[in-house]
Amino acid sequence: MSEASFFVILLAAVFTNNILLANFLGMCSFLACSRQIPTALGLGAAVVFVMFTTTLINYGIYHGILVEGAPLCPANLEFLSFIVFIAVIAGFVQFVEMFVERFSPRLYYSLGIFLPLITVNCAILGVALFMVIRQYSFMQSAGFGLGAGLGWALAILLIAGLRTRMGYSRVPAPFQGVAIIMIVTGVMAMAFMGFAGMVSIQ
Amino acid sequence: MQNRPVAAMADGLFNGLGYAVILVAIALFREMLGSGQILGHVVLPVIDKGGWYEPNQLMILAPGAFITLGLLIALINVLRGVGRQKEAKA
Repeated sequence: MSEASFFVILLAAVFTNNILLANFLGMCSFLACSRQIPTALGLGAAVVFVMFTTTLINYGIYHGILVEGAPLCPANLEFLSFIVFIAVIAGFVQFVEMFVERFSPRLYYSLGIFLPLITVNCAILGVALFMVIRQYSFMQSAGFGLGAGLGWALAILLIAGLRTRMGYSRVPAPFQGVAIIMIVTGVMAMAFMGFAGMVSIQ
Repeated sequence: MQNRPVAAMADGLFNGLGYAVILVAIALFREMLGSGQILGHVVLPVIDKGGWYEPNQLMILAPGAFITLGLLIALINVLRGVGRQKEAKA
């Protein structure tokens, strides 16, 4: 168990261990919803919210009920952790979907199927599983959940800005679409590797 | 109606196979450029062991994966003839 503080883990999750650029998690909605900055911003905000809250709830459920010798249920229920994590995430995404539909119908229609697809966004389940594997404490989990969400939102926002600009540049025909986005993402991942050594988590 | 489950099974099977082919292609490329080996067999002798190839550490790290996948998509687009018709029209 590492002793890193809330802010160290937050910074590391945003910059050095970015969930998208270093761990490849959450690629599908990243590619599909990065055409325009407002869409990217909306999805980024939804992911930050879902990731932060579900990480905290999953931490409570995991250490309060599932783990062996937990206060609420001493039996070892760790084998249920996937299904419980996913159920919590699905419940929260349902809430976010209803909220967005009510308060921002335009964003709701521009996100389309990718808003409910946050449910199975590998980045969000990935954060919950990393939290378990790395044995984070409550504050560390909070920092990691918030940082990973912010890091993902930062990555999709940057790529959305670049894609808006790329509309004015002449990309060779075979590279148009996803191919050039993958290469630009690779260059961005390289740029983020420049932060390595600032802080590190395993 | 009789064929639908079979067709669906074939669809699933070949989608999975296609995924596996792409995965293996990218892994071969990255392993060869990243460590000079394919499945543990030396193809490009590295400098550290008396060869001539300087292994490209980037290929082992995350950016190498993104760039390899981008190049592979572009290659597939070339093979599918994307952009060829546009040039003919212009």
